[in-house]
Amino acid sequence: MSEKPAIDLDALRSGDREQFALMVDTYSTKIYRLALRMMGNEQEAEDILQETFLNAYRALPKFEGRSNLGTWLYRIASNQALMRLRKKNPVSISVDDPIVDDEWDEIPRQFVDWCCLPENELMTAEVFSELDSALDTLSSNLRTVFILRDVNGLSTRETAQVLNISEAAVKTRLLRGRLKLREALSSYFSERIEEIGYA
Amino acid sequence: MPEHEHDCSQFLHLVSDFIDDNLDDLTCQEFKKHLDECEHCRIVVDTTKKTIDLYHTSNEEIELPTEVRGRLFHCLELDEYLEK
Repeated sequence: MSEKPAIDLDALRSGDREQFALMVDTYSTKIYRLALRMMGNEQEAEDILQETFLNAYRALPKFEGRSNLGTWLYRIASNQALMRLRKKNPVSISVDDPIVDDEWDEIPRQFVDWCCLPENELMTAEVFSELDSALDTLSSNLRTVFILRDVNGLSTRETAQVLNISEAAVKTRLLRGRLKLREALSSYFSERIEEIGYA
Repeated sequence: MPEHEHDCSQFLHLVSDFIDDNLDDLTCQEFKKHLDECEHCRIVVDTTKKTIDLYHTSNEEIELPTEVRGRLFHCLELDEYLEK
């Protein structure tokens, strides 16, 4: 995650409005994308975007800079999203779910090689909608790690810092999330290849 | 994959580390050798990479709507910086 050097952290912490506006401009698109992917809903994504920067503004005087600014904002936004998801579905969602390796259920079953499909088949609105549907099938734990790490491009270490979990837990969740999504998309593209008769 | 199921399940646990280039040289060589011999595992690796790529690319298409940015700046009382 690249940090814009133009942001003066000392001024930001002491309440400089121009620096705060610069921070909002620098990170608002990234936070919006994260929230939209997490919630799958534009209104909730906007609510999380606003809550994130309101909370950040209140907490800035105490920001110690142990993590970088982007990681800190992602943590606030992720927590907001996870709280909302937990309220919606209190039984199945817990940030502290243990990783249980013996519950390995990502044995691949789809072996269609759809990588060779032309770009005009891969980059369609229908495919993008399918990406959202597949993401919805992941538990919040797997979804959050996948979004931070693979969609928003944070490193394993940064993702661990954002979620306050170990790097090993990030790697385990990432592998499971990636394989589940691959399976879902392979199933979709398998049908699509049959429809269009692509060989 | 069915012919070497035991081997494949071992390699399956390394798919992420292989994609992220986190394997040591020896393990990476063994992994690549297995991919040369096992079409199913090769497809799993290739389609997993493509899955990640699709999500990443589709995310880059998402822009912050102008009206959402406007409401954000307003709620943060940053209206004077909106056009900057």
